[in-house]
Amino acid sequence: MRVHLQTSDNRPLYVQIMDEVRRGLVRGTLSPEDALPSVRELASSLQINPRTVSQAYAELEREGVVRVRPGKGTFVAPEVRPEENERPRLAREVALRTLADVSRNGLLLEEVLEALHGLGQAVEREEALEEGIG
Amino acid sequence: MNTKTAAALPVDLGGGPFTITTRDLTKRFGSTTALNALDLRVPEGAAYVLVGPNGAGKTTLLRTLIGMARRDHGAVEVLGIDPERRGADARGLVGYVPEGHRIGYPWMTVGRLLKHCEALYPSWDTDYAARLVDAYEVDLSRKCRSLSKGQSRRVQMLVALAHRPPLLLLDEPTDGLDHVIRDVTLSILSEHFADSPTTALISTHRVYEIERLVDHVGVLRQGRLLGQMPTDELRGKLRRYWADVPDGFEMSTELAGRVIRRTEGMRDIEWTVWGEEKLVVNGFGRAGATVREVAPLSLDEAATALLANKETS
Amino acid sequence: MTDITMDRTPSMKAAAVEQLRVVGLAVRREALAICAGLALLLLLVPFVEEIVVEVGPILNPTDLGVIAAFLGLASPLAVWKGETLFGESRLWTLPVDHARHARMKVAAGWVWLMGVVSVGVLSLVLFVVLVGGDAGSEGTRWMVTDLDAVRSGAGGGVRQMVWTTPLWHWAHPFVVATWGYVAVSALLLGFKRPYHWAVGGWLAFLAFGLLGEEGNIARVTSTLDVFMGAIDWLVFAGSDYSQVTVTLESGQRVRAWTRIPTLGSVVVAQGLWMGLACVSLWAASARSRES
Repeated sequence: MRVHLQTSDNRPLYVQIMDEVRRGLVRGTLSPEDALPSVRELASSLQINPRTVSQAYAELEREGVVRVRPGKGTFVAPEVRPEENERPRLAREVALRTLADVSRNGLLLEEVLEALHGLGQAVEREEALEEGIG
Repeated sequence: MNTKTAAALPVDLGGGPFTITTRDLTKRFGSTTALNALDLRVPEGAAYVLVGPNGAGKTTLLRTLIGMARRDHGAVEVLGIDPERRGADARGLVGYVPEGHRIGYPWMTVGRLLKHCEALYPSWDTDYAARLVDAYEVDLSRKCRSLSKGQSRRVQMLVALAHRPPLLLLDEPTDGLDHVIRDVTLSILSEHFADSPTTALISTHRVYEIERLVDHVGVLRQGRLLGQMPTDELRGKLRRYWADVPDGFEMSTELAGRVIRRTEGMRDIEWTVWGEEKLVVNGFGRAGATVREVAPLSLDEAATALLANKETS
Repeated sequence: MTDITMDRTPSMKAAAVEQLRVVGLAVRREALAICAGLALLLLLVPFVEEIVVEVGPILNPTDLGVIAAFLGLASPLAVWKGETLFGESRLWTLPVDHARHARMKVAAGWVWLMGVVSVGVLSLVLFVVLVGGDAGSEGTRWMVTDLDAVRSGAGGGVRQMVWTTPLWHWAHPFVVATWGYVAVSALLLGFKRPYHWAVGGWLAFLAFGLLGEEGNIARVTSTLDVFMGAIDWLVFAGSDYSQVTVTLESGQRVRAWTRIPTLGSVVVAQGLWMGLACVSLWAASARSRES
């Protein structure tokens, strides 16, 4: 798993790390029972305080996403169901951020939804066209 | 506009335990007051960044903590020790990176300097020192006097870390380091915090470099501590608000004292305000303004805003 | 989390041994240069032997006073080289008591200084003996028996006595080197600008002599005289200021002693100087005391 923190992201670091783990689960780069990087490793590679990593892992454990095995490390919980739990959760996070963006730009949610819809159709058409050519 | 914010910024960090406590710490150089009635509290296990412009008193403060400068007034406790009475004991428990780049004895090789420190710090970790020599690519055969600023800073960091002290006092630890070595330093510090139980007090005027490593912040200006708090609290309570305002808008008195900075645009105004977001937004509403966006500040931006606000004192 | 009652300061012994090593390294180059010079001198023995035909040279321990004094005065500069004693010296950041450690370092330097002086004295004695001379003289000295008779210049007032250099004279170069070393160490530790103070002190001394309306020059020279006499007691054990030039009845001019410094008088004189230097050193190092 590669964790990447964006400097432009205004959310607390531990929340960003939790999100990166969720993203890994949804995209399939992380599977149940996989080992997460150690607190030391991740803190060192991200150049952050190890306590922040511990905080993220502790939160994830509280949510049942990971499990800490003393002396062995932190692992994705075997009973994790990314499609049922993490996926909707991630979608909600993206939606929250979009909502904030909508309000910041002084737009109405309906306008943006309409624009999104239109964009989605345009992308589908292009994909269909490309497939036709291919 | 009245922007007295003294009451807004917290200084009290609760009951502790604290690794560093200063009470009413005052230090004068002739007629200038370098430290003015400072009540610093560094909680045990914290990574505390001390921000402030050059000449704010950061270096003097660190020096009083290990008995290298005498205070004129007040009390200091470092790991339960008064460094003015038991300086040697305090220095044995502290890894100190001084502001200047002189290391050891100019005629000595770096390798011999490390042996010197090994002999004088009973807790010196030889293996760890060797690993740091590798990580920092320190040339042991060089004479101390021939080192560049960056090279001596690396050796200073190495000496401060290798005896695994319970407290680190780092005065501008990234000063003189290029980007690559700065990254190495930050990684080394991350690993050090993970491996050894350490409290750290880091002074810098380049907060962005160590922003992610620290969990407490103190703002120092002209020898006064404007505020100290966990970085989470700063991030939560100091926010930027963009608001649309009606003509002839007047800030409500309840908020006026909490405004740190105000930047005027065409029709909307950007405010940096200290306080609970909900209360601030409501306050704007009652005054007739509509808050369009709220955003937290990075630690660096927050420090800049606090230090730029001349009334914050 | 951390046991803060744990003592993280080195033992006195560890600190002392390390200071001895570090100071040894600091003065290594200078000490080696001196030893190389002495070795060269010994290598010259075969050539000197050819030149010295009849009488071998005589080496008296008090002759070594000037060299020893110079060594003592100069060596603190080597011990403390490169250290900013009034700035961020490495010494001040170490887990050791400032004042005690400063004294420890002075003591370490003194040990090395005594080593170098020993090597120097031994080499010179060896040299003199090898070229056929004597270390410590046995022979005669002129003693003044009647100072008035000597001053009248009419001749007489002196007699010859048998003289053997006493063993305790050999302590002289060591004592003098120690005095110079301690004095300059105190100067370096006590003053931010030691050279200014040294030169300033000397000028103040001269100015003191120039005060007063009449006989200024005489006053300076007489003050200097007292001072030089005191230095003589220290460096030459009073051998210079206790001697006068006497014209014998035969017309021959010789140096005669008005009195021979005894062990007691030397101990008092040098003890006074040494005490002064040691008190200064103690005061200077107490500048950085911590408790």
